[in-house]
Amino acid sequence: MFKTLDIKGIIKFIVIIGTLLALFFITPILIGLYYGEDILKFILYDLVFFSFNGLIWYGLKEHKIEMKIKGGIVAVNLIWFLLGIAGAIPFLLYTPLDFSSAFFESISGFTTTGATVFSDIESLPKMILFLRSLTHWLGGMGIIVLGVGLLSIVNPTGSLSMFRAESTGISMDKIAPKIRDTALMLWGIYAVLTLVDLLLLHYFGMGWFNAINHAFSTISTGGFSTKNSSMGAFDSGAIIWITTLFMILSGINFLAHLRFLNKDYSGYKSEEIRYYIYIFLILSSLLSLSHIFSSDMGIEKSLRDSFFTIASVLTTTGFATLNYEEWGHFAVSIVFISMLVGGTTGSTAGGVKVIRYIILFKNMLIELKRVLHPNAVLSIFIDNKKLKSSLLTSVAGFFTLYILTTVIVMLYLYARGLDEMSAISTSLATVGNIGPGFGMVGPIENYGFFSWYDKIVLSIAMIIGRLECYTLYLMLSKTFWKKF
Amino acid sequence: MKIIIAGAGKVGYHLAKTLSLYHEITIIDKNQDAVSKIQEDLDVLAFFGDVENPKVYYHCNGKVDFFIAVTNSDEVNIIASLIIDDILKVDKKIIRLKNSFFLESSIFEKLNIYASIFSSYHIANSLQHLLEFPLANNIKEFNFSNIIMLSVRIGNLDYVGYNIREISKEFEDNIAIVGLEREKNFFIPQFNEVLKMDDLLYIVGNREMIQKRYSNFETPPKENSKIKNCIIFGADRVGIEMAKVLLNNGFEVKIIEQSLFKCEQATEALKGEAIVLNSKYGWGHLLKEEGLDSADMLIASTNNDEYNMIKSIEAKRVGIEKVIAINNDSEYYSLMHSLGLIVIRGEKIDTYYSILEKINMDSLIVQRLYCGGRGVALVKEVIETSKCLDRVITLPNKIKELSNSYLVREGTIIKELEELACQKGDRLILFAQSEHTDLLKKWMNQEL
Repeated sequence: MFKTLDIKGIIKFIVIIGTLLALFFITPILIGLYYGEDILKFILYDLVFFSFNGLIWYGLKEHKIEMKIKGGIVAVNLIWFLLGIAGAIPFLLYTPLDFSSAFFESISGFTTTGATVFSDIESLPKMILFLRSLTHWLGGMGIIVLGVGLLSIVNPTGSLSMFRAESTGISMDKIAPKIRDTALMLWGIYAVLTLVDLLLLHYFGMGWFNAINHAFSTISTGGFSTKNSSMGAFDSGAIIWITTLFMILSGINFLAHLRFLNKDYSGYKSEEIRYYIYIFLILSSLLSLSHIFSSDMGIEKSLRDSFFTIASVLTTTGFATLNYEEWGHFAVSIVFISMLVGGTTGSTAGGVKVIRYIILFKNMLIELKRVLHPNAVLSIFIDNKKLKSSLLTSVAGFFTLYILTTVIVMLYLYARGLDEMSAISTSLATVGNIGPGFGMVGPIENYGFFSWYDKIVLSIAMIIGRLECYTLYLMLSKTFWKKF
Repeated sequence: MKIIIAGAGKVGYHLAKTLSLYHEITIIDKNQDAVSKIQEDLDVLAFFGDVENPKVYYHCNGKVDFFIAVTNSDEVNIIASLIIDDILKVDKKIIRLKNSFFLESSIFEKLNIYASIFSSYHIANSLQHLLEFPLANNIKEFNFSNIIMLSVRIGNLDYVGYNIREISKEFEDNIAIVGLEREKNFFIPQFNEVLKMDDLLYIVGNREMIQKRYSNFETPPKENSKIKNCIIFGADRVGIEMAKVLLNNGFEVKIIEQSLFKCEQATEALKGEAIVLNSKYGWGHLLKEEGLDSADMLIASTNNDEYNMIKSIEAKRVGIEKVIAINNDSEYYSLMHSLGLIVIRGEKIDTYYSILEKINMDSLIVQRLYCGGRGVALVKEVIETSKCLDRVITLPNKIKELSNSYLVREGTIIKELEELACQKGDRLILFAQSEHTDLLKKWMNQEL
């Protein structure tokens, strides 16, 4: 098997991404420098990390990457684990965390989960806070996608799968002939959205440092905050509404945003995005009602908190303003539903994604029709186009894997002694890359209390969720390792 | 370059695959499955849509360098290359046409077409050349002079055991040996390379010269004179075009075709000059009844390579001397060669290579592919602004290593180009393995 893999190519691919990451690590150092923090260890670490990757890259510079599907899968999986390690080391250097916690925090960052093990976030050095947000931002659109765009490390045929492995949803669309250009444009619009969010947040009263961190966290739908009480620390209606808007925008296919820049609105008219908006509006309204009746806050405040909460959970960001568990069982069930949905294809949001539900739902309607018209030839139409039957089976396979993963993690946690609600929601919150759940991992709690092996299990669950199940499970299948 | 390909069939797919390495490709087809296949496989932009519908081109903005129409229908290709002008500014249009009667029309000027690819016409032409050089496997012309390239199987020439230098002497050193195919490998041979039985040798030289020396090949003289009766398997367009060529050369032609409808079409097209046999119920009985076993040549020209190969082997068994097979799938090219068949590119492969050659000619360098696309010939003319004008070209070692280089002056090949100052109108011609194309082109563009 190993003979058929382009091992050198995989290594080259990994070190290229590593070098890129090392360059990005300069930004937290600059932040540390600005705030007069002890940056020496970080600089040393980054130098070692950079030269290690850079030297291997240099050594392999003549090697042409010839990766096939299997090589691509191995590379993507390895990169995601190694990202976790590379991101964990600064935590080890600057905070009292042990390795498993640091790994968990780092993976939670790169997978844009936003679950933290820190109880007192505000006491962390500014550069570590920024590093957390940076891991979100790099993981959100995908650092491999960025590598593809900047260095065109994809070999022209056969390795589009690598790009797909990291992008979300059921299909990978392009708007430019070269995948490289598409990747760059995606990162471009991603950066633009981040910048606009940053400026708006600052305009409405957030300090620059907090604004940068929250913009990174919002657009990547991550959820790390610089405050212990998350977004609840900012008592400005405008900031909450802006963040709500940008979370919802980040849950929308970035290709639609790109088309919008070319004055092509068709992207937003797709069925998936329409349903995504409907789901958002309906769940938010229901939560608002429940919130208004269960508490005596004003209508604007109730609406604001409810819309924010649903946007935060639906797009798998995981910010919190208030503890939604206090709003009663109805509210909890509404939030629970949004945990199951997720964003749309090609967005930075995690979860199951709206399109998969649409496909399954339409399939169900067709099955009902088939009973009444046994001889009819029926097909599923999405955006007036016939759905390829292979997509339906792929969606069914995804659901099986997703449910299986969630159930296994849930049972594991239950066996470890968590209560039912905490076990279910922790499992959903990690596999769905959401972050906070209910009970012991509720919006005002953290993941610090888990033992080291729990953290490893949850970290793996987050990677499985971020890579949408198939990529990691493929490596476990027997056929993957067969030569023939 | 920005290239739009209309039609995602076999030709479109392979063009997109090859060209996407260096260019931005957009491909359009109305077959959803073909489009999704391309989307999965290649780094190109694939659209689902009707190429005759101007709306599909809205997605492609800006200037387009090449528009290539390669759908299966001539009419669709023509309409598409007409329609696209409404929406986009296209620099060059390449169109694939099947019916050779378009050759005599004025549509190329009207549609502003840069190049048109008539593959059935090409194929018939290759057959014509083969008839002129019966021992050759394949013949290629270079349109700037009377230089031709031909491939011959060493076994046919009784040159087994000779080395390249000796062969070259046989031709009074007026030809160049530019490639050798041995056991599926293609390479540029050194002077001391000893030739083996099944080797296929590529020779370039002046046409008259080769023709003159050609009689040397015929030891014993048996081939051309004896070939009189010819069987063609398959009455598709290629089969019919070939039959026309053979009839013009005074051959007796019998065509065998399974489909009755095609048989009727063929009879009509050939005005009854060739006998078209319907083989719906097998061809075994035809062998005796029609005296097919006394044929001298068989051409398997169907669209199905497996069928072509089987028929060719069968024909060799029966004792037919000269067997030509049409190759439609490049994956079978080597296998066909190794079976000892003379291989002519089928319509699709010919279209593919012809278009590749047209696109890769960056205004000055002419590129020709041979040996199933594994060999490449690069030609560039010495012009007034050339760096090497009136002085000697010095070949860097790397170029010497990778290629055989010659100068062509007034129809003769000059091998000692390092001893001769270049003149205006000379042509530098390089032969190499096609993977070195980019490097060689870069050097040529610098030097000339």
